[in-house]
Amino acid sequence: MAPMTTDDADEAAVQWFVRLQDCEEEQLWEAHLAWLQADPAHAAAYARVESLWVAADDLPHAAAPAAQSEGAAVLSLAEARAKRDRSRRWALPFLSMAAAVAVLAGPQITRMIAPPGETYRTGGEETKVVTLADGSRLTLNRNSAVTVRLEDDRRTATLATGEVLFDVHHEPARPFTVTAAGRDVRVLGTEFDVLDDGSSFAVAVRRGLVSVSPAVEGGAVTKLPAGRALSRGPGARVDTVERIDPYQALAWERGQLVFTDKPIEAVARTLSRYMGAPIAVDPALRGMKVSAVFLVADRSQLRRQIEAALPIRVKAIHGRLSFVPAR
Amino acid sequence: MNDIVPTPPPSTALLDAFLARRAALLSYFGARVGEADGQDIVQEIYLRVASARGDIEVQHPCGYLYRLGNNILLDRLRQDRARARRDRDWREVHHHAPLGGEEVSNTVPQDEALIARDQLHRMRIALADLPEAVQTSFRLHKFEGLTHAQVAERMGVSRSLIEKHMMSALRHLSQRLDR
Repeated sequence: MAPMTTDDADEAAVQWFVRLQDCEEEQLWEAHLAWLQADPAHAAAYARVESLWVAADDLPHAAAPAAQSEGAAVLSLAEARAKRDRSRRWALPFLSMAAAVAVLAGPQITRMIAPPGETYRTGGEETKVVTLADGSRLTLNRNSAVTVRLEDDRRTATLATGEVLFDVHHEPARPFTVTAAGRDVRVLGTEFDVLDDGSSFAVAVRRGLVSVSPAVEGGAVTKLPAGRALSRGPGARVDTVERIDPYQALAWERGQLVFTDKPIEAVARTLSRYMGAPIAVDPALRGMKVSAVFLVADRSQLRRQIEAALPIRVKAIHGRLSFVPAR
Repeated sequence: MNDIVPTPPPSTALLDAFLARRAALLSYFGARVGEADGQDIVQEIYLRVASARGDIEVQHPCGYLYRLGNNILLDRLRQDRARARRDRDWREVHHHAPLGGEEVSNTVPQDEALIARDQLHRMRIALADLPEAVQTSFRLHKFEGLTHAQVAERMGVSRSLIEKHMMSALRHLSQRLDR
């Protein structure tokens, strides 16, 4: 083959990239390897297309000049997401398999699957994954309790306290609603996180689309697409909707707590759930912003991590915790 | 990963396909990202396959393994990117310590942040330049996660046309970013 110019390599890389999207033809992948090995410029060109693809994640997702009404846009988004959830099942083996087990596997598995109207709880030292009979998966964070009821025409989960990540199996005929802090979170086939720790309420969406009922009667319903979170901190009178990095916001599922530029008070609230007691913040620390990653571990270890990463000390008096300056 | 959880038997078709192709997958992903990272990806493919249950339906186990690895690779790129951004934000926020009266500004990460912002800006403009059908194909595939076949069905055109749209979108974006 004649030596390729960079432009040729770039053009070929674009073509390869597009042809290999969702490709399950083994021969094509083998041919791609031969192309990559033919010239080091090829692998470099391909890597450029790939990083362009990933960088394009940050582009605004909605078409700018869409003349559609908002309602229609939300509907088509929901429809497309539901489609994607179906089409992407293969990439999420646990998801599709959970559903398949419930439907296909019959008696020997039924013991592992939750009956309707069941309450699941976690203590201060563990998280728990529960697979429901409809194939949905719940991951309970520490100190959480949720009651699930699966009925013929609806599925409901009531979060009494704590935080649960819902990976909901899409069933158009049987909506899934989560009730927390007196508000309803309605769900399409999707993955999202609901937090109610008594003083703050939050919903973060990893995939799909959910709608959150207003806090007061007559208020507006909020629709949240993937990558958005709604929250209401203690004492707040309005909801805040913001963009989130789901990888970071839901890091607890992987045993990590990730904070980027968060007020110390919010960090203390989150850490309270892991330390097993509310954490007060010394006024001298007010205004401090925290960026840090902690590994979820037992209390004493978590305390050591906090003190190592931040200029603060964790003070414990009569079972009450507080953050004070380390000096 | 020390939890002892009763697991249904793994998908033998996938596992067999994996074992028969381990070396091929290592060369492929090695060529993509280098030997060490390639090994990590193949290991991750193995973990996913070994934990997949027997009733998962895969039509083309061999091709599926590549597709799975390719998605793992892209997810890692995304994670690296998110991590880089976090590190950058962290440095932007925390490294302004005055040294000898002079502000030590961390110019490199700030440049990175500017470059990333500029890149995004140029991509946004470049995307808007494209014919509407190309933009729509790109959005449906990239952001709504539809496959090329599903985009084709939605837009009432052939799949090969969608592939052409995707190619021209990527070509255009990359040319615009090079400049």
